[in-house]
Amino acid sequence: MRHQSLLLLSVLSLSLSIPAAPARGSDHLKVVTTLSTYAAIAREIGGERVTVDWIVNGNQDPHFVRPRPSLARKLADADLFVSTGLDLELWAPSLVDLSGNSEIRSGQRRYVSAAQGVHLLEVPKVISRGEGGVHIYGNPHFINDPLAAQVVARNIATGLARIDPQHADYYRKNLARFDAEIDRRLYGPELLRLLGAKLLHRLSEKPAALWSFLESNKYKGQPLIDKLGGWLRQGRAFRGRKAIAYHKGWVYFSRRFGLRIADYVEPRPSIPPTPRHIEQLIERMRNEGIDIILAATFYDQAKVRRVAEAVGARPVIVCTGTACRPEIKSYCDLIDHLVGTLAAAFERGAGS
Amino acid sequence: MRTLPLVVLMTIIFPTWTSRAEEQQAGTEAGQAVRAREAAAPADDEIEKLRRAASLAVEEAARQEQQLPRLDTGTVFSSGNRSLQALNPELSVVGDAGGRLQMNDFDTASLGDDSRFYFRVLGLHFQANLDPFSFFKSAIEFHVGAVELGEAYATWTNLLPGLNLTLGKFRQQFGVVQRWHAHGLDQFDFPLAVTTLLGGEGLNQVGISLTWTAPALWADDQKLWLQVTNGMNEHLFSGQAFGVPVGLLRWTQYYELSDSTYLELGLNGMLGTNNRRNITDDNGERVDEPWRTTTLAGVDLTISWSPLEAERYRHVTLRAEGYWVGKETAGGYLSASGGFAYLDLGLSEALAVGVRGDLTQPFTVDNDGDLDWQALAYLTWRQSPWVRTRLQLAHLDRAGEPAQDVVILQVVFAAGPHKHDRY
Repeated sequence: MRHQSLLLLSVLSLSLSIPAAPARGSDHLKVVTTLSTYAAIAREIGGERVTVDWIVNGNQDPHFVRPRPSLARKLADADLFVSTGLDLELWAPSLVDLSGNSEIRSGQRRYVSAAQGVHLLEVPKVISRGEGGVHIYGNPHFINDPLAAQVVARNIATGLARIDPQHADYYRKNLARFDAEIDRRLYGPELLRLLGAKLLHRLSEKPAALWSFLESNKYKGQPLIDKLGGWLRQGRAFRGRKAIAYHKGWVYFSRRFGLRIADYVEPRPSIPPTPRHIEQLIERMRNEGIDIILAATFYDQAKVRRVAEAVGARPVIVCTGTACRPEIKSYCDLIDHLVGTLAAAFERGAGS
Repeated sequence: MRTLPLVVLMTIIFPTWTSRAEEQQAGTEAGQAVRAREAAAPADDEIEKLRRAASLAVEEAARQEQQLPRLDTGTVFSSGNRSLQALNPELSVVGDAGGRLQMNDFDTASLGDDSRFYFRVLGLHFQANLDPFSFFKSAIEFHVGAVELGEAYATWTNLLPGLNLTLGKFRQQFGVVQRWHAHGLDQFDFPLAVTTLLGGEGLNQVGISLTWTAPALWADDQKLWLQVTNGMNEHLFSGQAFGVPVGLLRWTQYYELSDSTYLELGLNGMLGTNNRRNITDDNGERVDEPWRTTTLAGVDLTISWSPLEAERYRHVTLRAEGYWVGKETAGGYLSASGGFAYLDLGLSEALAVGVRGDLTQPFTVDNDGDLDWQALAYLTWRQSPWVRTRLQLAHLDRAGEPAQDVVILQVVFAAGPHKHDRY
C-alpha cells in the first residue's frame, strides 16, 4: 500500500512537471523575442505559422529589465528565442538559465541573434567604463534603420526555417514580401522601379553616395531626387538638420536619414548627466540654434523638458519600439512614427 | 494485389506532394510577379544610362576607399595558440569600503564597534559558461588579513524539464536577503535576525541545490528549492565536525499584480544536526555526543513596484522576513525568533532612500523577555551603475548592552561586468 502511494505520488509529480517542459509539436511555433520590434518582424516572417511574444515593450528601456520569474516562464516553452545577441540585454542569460529551456541558449539551434550580419557602428577602440556603459561590440540600437531590419528579418527567417524546415519556402516568401515592403516604403515606388532594390542597397551602403547620386543626376529632364519617395523623402524635412538626443540610440537612424545628432543629454551611456554638462548643452543649443531634443519615452522626460524650456526648444518624445502605443503594431508603423514625428517637429519649428 | 499498397503509399505521400506543389506554384507566381514588375519598368536608354551611372557611382565610392594593397614585409605574423585570453572566465572586482562613526561616548571598542575606516571586502568574481549545458560562478573574498572562498558552484540548467542542479559552495536560499552578498544589500549590513539567528556569515555551505520550476497553478510562478549541504555553519550545526547532511526546502509563489507590481511569498524550512560525532578533540579524547537537531523555519514577503516605462528611475520595494530557530544544545533547548522589514524608495536614476527595522531574540537558551532591535535609515547615491555611496544612520539596542548610534559611510565599486540579477 505504501509503495502504491509512493508510485502515485511520483506519477502525480511527473504529470505536474509537464507544463514546465518546452511545448514542442504544437501547430504553431512559439517565438519569444527580447524586443517587441523583433517580435513584430517575427510575426511578419512567421505569419500564421507562429505565435509571438516579447519581453521588452516599446516603452521600456531594454538596458534595464528586472529578470522576473514570469518572464522566464515565457521562455520555458519557446520554440525560438530572438535577442540582439550583443551586450544590450545583459539580463537575458539569467532568464534563459531560469527558464530551463537549454535549446534557446546562445549557440543552440533555437536561438537567433538579431545582430548577426548587421554592420555595427561605434565599435569602441578602447573599452573602458571611463566612457560609461559602453557597448563593447558596437552600438546595438540598429533596429531603427530599415535596412538593418531587413537583416534581422533574414536572421529570424533563417531560425524559423532551421526549426521548421518543411515550411522554409513559406518563410522565404514572407521574407521577400517584407524586404519588398521595406524597400518600397524607404525609397518610394518610383525610384525603386527606376534603379531597382539591389542597386539602391549598394548605394545606401554609403548614404552620402546615394544622396550625391540622386542630387547630381536627372531622369527625363527632371532631377532624380524628385523621384525619391517613402521615408527618405519624408525625412528630407530633417536631413542635415541638427538635434540633441538623450541617449546614443540614434546613430543608425541618423546615418540613414541624414539627421545630425550634435550632442547628447546623457553623453556617457548609463551615467546620469552632470549639472555642468546640462549647462554646456544649453549653451551649445543657444549658440548653434539647435531647437529639437529627441528622446525615447522611457528616458527622464522631466530633464528633457527642463533643457528644452531653457532654450525654447521642442522636446520630441518618441517610441523606439513597437507596441509602445496601440497604433504602433508593425515595423513599418514604427518607422512611420519616427520619421513622421521628427519631420513634423522640424517643419513646425521650435517651441510652436 | 500490388496496386493496393501503391495506392496507400500514394495516399500517404500525395498530401505532401500537394503541399509542396502549392508552395512551388506560389513561389513561381511570386517570381513571375517580380519579372512582370521589372518588365513594366521603362527600358529606355536613359534608364540603362542611369543604372550604369549608379553602378559607376558605387564603384567610385568603393574605389575611393580601396587602394591597391600594399605589402609590408616588416609585418610580424603571430599565432594565437597561446593567447586565448578571450576564453577566460568573465572577471569582475568589487570593493566595499568606507568609515563608521560611533556617536556614543561609552567604550564601544570593547564591543568591536568603535569609530574607524574599514575595508570590508575586495571580491573577485568569475563566471563563464562551461559548455552548452552548464555554467559556473565563483567569488573569492579578500578581507584585510584573510582570504576566503565566498562561493564557487557549477549549475546545470534543464537537467530534467524545469529542473536546475547546482553543485558547490553557495549562499543558501533561506529567504531572499540571506542569499545576497553583503555588498549587494540595500542597506550596509545584514539584518540582525540574519546575523543573530543564522550566524555572522549566514548560511553558506557546500552541497547540492535542486531548483524546480513547478507548475504555476494559481500563481504566476512557483519554484521549489531542495538543498542538501554539509552542516558547516558552527552557529547552527556541527561545524567542522559535521557528519549528517543538512536539508533545506524553500517554496516561492510569485504573483504579477500588474505590469509594474509583483508580490512574492516564500516559505522556508531547514533541518540538521549540531552534535559532534566520531571526532577526536584537542586532548585526544574521542567525542561522540548524543544526537541533537537544529530546526529552522522562515517566511518572507516582497512587494515591489517599478513602472515599466521608468524602471531606471523609480521603484518602491517593501520586504519583510521572519525566522525561527530551534536548537537542541547540551545546555538545553534554544528557541529564538526574529525578523525585519524595510522599505526602499527609488527617487531617481541616482537616488534611493529607505528605512529598516530589525527585531530578534538573542541566540541563547535563556532569552525569555530579551530582545535586540535596530532602526536605520539610509540614502544611497549612485554616481553610475558601478559606483555607489551610501550614508546610513542606525540605532542599535541589544539586550544587556548600551544602545549605540552609528553613522556609516559606505562606498561600493565594481570594475568589470559584475551585476546582481535581482527582480
